Amino acid sequence: MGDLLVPIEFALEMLPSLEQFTYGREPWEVYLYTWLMKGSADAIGSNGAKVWVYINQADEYVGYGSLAQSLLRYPRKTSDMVPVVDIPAFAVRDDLWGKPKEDRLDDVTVDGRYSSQIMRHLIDTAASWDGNFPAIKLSVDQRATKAHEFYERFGFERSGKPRVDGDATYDRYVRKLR
Amino acid sequence: MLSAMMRRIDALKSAASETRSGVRRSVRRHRCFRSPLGHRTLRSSTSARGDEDCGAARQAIFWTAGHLRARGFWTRRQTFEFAARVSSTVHVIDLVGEQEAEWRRLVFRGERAFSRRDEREFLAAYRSWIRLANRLIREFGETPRSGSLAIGMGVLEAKLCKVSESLNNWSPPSLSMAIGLRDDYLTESEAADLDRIISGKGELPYEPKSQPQKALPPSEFFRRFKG
Repeated sequence: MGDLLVPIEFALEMLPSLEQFTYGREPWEVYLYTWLMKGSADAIGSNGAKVWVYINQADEYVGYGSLAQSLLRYPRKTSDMVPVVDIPAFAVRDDLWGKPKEDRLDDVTVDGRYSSQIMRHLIDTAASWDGNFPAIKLSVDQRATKAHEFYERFGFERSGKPRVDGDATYDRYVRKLR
Repeated sequence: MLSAMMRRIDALKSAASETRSGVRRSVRRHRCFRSPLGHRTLRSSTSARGDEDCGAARQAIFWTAGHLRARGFWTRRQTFEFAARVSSTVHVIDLVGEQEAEWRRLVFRGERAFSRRDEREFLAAYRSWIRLANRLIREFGETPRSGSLAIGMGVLEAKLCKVSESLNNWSPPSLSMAIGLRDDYLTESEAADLDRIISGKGELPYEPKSQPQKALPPSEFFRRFKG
């Protein structure tokens, strides 16, 4: 694997340094910028979310990933809430999409692209959280077709009905952790 | 054997009695009993006058000692009461803080709608606590300092600083921007689908490692970051 990413714990003081980076121009991509700049503080403060920024071997900022505990009422309507690890947001800066160049794109265990490295770090970290449901979930905008393919390559499966929030409709993706 | 022991006990009692009266005599003659209220020396008085002076002097001594004890007790009691007020004030702000955190969590997860009324109540609670803490800090200047009380006041001042700062930077709670962090309810078919995924025996494209890569502290970002 070529350019190994290094995860660094995120702190709100980093935001002024990160505001110059974008993660695409489509509405669901702009959302990823907005979440980091505005939504992450609330997610960390009110929900104990964990956020990491990733830098490459050249000490360039590459992107960020996040994990947080969400609550599902499961398996019955009357059941207690079950904590499930969720990926609220994860993004690679748009000028580094598809990098570094990689030949073994089909094998996600060795795929060295930044997006795959970040996703592997998130899955590894989620699996090591204590007392959690044996699955990880995320919600993805239905219009983000490339993101759907990416999550499916990592074993995520679409589950349940889509949820509407404002202009966007989100699919819930779930993956077994262990 | 027993009678011999009884005799020995009697002898000890009488010796103790003589010792006590001897002590009393020497106390009466001690220089400490001469001065407190400016009386003449007890030795130069007649026997009756001497007894009278001695009684007054002893009374004065006992009164002074009692007064000092009472004052010490009162000071300790004041300090104790003050420490209790400081401790309960610190405790109250911790409870308000916990309530606020819970309120923010509920709003963030969409379990409770944000309301201005809730917000006003929290702000009012914080403001009245700040007034109370400031009053205690003013009073502290007039209260004798002791180790634990000084520590308690330090904690109170730190809390006051923190609460004032959070009021200055106050922002109302908001619903989670990420839909995945809002509380979710599964229908029966959705629950069954989730069950199917969790209990699936198929091989996963990526098996998580038992030890995730360790993240570096934020300071490392500022050291390495190239803008």
